[in-house]
Amino acid sequence: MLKLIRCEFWKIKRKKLFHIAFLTTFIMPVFYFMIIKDANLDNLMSVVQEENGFLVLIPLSIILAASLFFEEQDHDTLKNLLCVPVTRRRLSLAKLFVVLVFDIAYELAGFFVSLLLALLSRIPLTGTGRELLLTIACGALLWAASMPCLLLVIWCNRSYIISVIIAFAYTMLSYILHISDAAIRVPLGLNIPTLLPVPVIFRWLYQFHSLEDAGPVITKFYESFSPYFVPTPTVFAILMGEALLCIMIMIKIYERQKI
Amino acid sequence: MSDYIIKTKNLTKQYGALKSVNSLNIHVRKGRIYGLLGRNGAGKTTTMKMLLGLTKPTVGDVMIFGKSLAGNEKSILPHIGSLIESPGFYPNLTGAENLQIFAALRGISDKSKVKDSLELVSLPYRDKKLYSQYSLGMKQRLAIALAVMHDPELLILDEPINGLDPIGIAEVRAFIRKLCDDRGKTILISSHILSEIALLADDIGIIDKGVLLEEESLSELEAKSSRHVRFTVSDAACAAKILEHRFHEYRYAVQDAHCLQLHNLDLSVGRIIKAFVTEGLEISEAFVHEESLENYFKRVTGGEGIA
Repeated sequence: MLKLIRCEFWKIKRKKLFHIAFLTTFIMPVFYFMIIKDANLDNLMSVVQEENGFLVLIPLSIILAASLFFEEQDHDTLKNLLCVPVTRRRLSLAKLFVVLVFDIAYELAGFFVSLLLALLSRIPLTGTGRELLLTIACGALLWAASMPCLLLVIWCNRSYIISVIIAFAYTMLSYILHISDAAIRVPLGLNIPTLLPVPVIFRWLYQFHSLEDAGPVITKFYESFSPYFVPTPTVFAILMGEALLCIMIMIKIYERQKI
Repeated sequence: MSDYIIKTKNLTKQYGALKSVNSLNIHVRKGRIYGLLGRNGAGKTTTMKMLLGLTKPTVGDVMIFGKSLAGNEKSILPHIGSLIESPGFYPNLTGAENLQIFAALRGISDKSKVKDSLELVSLPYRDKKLYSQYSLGMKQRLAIALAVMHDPELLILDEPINGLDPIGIAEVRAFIRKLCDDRGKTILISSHILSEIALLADDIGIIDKGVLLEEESLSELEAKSSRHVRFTVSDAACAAKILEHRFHEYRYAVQDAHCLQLHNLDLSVGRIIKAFVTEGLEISEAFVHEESLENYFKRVTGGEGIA
């Protein structure tokens, strides 16, 4: 399996899509830093974890994963791999692992950019260890959050354009839901809002926001929202459970695709 | 293990109502080149895909190295090198980088294997040219390099000369022949080009509309198809003795008890008939058979399509 993962990394050599995608991690923190005068580290990190994650990383990871899955068919390399033999299940898992590494690396890059910006403007670096852990966790959770959409993309097995459209539609819908009370102010349980990936991540992440420099509006929102916070083990259980289910279905679909 | 490296039993692949391959029984002998000859769409590629486990047969079984392929892919496939349809590689990588990926997956630790296999097909090792910039001939060579890189016992090559120029075709042909003669590889090769199969194969299978029409050695097929005089007599064995004693002629083949083929057309047919009659043989038929190998294949497959 390790060999397969290493080979998946070799395959992305000279792939401009991956390089350009990675560069987008700098956009949000820099933009936020430029427009907000009294930015603190917590604000900068929340931009990386939420805006960058929800709006940029999710569609990117879906498109990149789709590109990894479709390239074997597009370039007729699947037959060579199957003759090694490499099973489609292991191949799928290796590709998904590459995307997971990309997602975490992407979030980490955003973290270090924010850290650099904070250093340059003498913003006090408090709680960096906790922010680092949150950023890594966010990368993993956002990877899991992209799985339902990736499943749809693989099931459709259409061109990149369709994949991009599906990815952006999913991203926009998820983003809208995460600011909708109907999706985030529902108690945990066997209900649809509990299963919505991005709103659940938001419900988990928001509890770690610092209220030190927060105004009365933010404080009031935090307090009214706190009953709906999701504990860390629960958010991981929900999202990883959903991801596992999606991956299992994805593998079944991938195994049935003809050469 | 039997003498057959590949043996199929009623191999059938059905897509809807259409049988792409129908009850195919092929027998590939160890250390031989088996040419699967057929028109485009005859079922050659589907057959090869089934032999490699890329497509599951609807009915039938594939035996490779004496074992059933189904359930034994992990132990059988590493001993096979293959080229199916068009070459497939990653366009953003060089030829060597592409091979390095497959070498890693195959667990080939010897780095010289990649270099050696590229040299074998006359492709440069230290080349910055990406696969996407390769010509069709270079792509085909790279696919052959991939097929032989891990030194497999069996090679399954689907139309390996596609896209090659005449010199490249001759080189690949010589290379395949050498693999079989010098290194004892067993090779299954498919083509719709009769001359290629005739130049390369030891054994030939003719496939048409998914059905294996003939399976014989090249010499047997040549005997069937070449120019010869065919005699139908009361005793073919006696006729053979007459040819040997009276005409010192040994270029003949006794087909059955009554049928004999003479492959020397320089001898006078009238003199031979006279000799047969003198020796008391009854002759019911004597004619010159002038069918070429190409015409023979056309007749067997029922028309055009084989170059």
